[in-house]
Amino acid sequence: MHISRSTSPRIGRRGLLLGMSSLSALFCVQTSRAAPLRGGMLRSGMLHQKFMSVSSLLVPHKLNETIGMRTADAMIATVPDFPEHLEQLASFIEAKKPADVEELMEALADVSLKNAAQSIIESWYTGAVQGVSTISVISYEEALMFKVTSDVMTIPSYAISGPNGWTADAPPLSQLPIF
Amino acid sequence: MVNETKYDVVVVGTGVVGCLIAEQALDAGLSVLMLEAGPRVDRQTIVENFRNLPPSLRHHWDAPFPPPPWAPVLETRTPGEENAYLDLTGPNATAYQQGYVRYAGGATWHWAGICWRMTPDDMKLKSLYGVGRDWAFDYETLEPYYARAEYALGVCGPTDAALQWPPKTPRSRPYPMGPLPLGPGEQRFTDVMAPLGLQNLPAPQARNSGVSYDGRPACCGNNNCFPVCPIAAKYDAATALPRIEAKGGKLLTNAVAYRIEADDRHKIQAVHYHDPHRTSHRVTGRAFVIACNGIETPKLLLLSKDDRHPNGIANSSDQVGRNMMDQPKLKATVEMSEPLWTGVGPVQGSSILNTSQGDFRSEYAGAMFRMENMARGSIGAAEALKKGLYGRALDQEIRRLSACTGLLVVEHEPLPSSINRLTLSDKKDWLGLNRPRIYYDVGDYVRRSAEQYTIPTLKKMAAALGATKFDLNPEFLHSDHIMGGCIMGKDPSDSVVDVDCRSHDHENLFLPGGAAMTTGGSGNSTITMAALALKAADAIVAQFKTA
Repeated sequence: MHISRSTSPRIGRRGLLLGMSSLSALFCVQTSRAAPLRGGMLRSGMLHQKFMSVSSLLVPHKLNETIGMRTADAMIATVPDFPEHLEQLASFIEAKKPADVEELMEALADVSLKNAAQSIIESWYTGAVQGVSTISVISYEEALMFKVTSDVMTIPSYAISGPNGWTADAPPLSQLPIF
Repeated sequence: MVNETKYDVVVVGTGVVGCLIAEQALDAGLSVLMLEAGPRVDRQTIVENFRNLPPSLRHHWDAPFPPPPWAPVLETRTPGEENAYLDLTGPNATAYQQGYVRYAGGATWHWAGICWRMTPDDMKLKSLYGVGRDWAFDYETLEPYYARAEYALGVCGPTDAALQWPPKTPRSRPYPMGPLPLGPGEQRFTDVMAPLGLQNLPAPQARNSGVSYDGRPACCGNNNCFPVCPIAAKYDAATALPRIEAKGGKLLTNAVAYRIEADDRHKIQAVHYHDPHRTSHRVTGRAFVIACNGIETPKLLLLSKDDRHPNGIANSSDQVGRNMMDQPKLKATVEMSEPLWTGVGPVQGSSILNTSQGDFRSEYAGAMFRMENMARGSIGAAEALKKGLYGRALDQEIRRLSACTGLLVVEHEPLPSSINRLTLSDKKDWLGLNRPRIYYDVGDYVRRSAEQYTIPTLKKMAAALGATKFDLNPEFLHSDHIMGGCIMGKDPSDSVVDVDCRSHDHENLFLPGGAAMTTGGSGNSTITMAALALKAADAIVAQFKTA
């Protein structure tokens, strides 16, 4: 294990190796927060377009294209066979024209394609891409998992009110925010 | 070896204890040098470190504070870090894997900010219940220092005496600020617990309530008190350092103290430290304060053994490193049909303390109960995604699991025990210094409490909340309240420091903070550590005046 250090420790943008406290396996954590998109990383604009197109069916919410580009970048780089799975998912959707993610997932018989679809969904919700031995952190406050409760719960480290501006009131559980 | 200028007061450690004493000494006109083993890191870097962690590591409070190789810590994120420092043994070793930060500002970077005072009974365990020890002074002696500490840190708390802790015990001053509001989760928890006779009190907290205080802004409910308050609304010692420097105090970072030097009359003359290049330096002073937490302080004393002090500095009693305490913690996750909605306001804002007092303490430990108020969105999402959900079902499940689950926590009062002991390991750290080796057994007093009292109480609490699931982690965990390793007492033969946290063996050596605490109580230790720091500061200043 190696952790990059300096006299003013800041977790390295790339290549910081961390052990997952809840898992025995080790993961290479790459945070791409400030990483510029590099030419060629996406291999082709078409692949990126397909990623956003497939994502728009898998995740029925407004999707941030910059985050999508970085997510696709990380998945191509760290998830085995991802470009092939993405192509196959796009072709399947083009051929079957499912109305929504529910219809798509029920129609998908191929387990590897289903897993690929699930991993795309997971990356949008967690803001991170799980590779074989790496986790690439793409976004924090834009991770969709926070949007689901954004009408009441704080995104840790961000404030949703002001000084003593919160109360014990809470909206109904059934009232899902629109995002 | 490099020699530095001589200072009136040399303080090792820049946490709350070191900073309070440094500022008191400066205000009295004394020159002060502070040594910090780790670096000085700005708040925004730590916040960015936190946000850029993988989701599963964001609940690891030490993760945004990567330790430099010369200042390793016990609570580790990686096998590499574990191999660098960890050496815990005993039946409950995990319960002593303490989380602390060796950065300028110390562990106050990721403390909860909770400031429960000990009660008069907490300080008389031996005479009232026949267990543990009695403190060398009573609550009334400590009360004025508690009040000063609350103003120094900026503690908000309830104005209604019925909601204050300790109960029915006079306060010399009100809290400097009123209480913070409760969010929906803690309010519901309070309401549901009341019929059980469990009074969930609004916590006194070192967070600015409604107004700015001491140059820091009001709390805006960022729900990130640990691992780091992004706006410094919570007191942390790092906010005191610029003021200390403005008053003339000098701060040396990345300076790892490794030896305290005493002369042949047992007077402390110098502290030796290593810089990151492994170069040794020597600083001299007239008074020395070792305030680098309850693990590093006894370790440094033991490391400093010499021909005249074969057991280490301040250790003629052989009590240095013994009586290591913390409140052994149990956690239970509950799931309910109705929402709790935690995650509104600070991560901790209330606790049940009336469970910590009573005659049962002759048999088993009292305890503090709490429901954590951390936002559970990421936990709910991880669980929902694990189920393979998607679309609207995924959103509904994330929302349900985020709102309808909670974490109940109980922290047990420890007893001082000589077998719970920090010694020097044969294993060395990056600088070649012996690592701390700690044997820890929570003891039958705590185990009986868990079996007969606290686990049954947790189950009652869960039932009252309408829990459909109750998942208790049976392993005792650490609460990060490191206490006891330089225990206070009147008798130099069985204690390390006197009533002013002055070493019995060395008139110009002070060991204030958690290590000096005689017993731990059930509540968080920081405000007691701060009160002891101010009492020690008064003694240091008085000693200079009479010298």
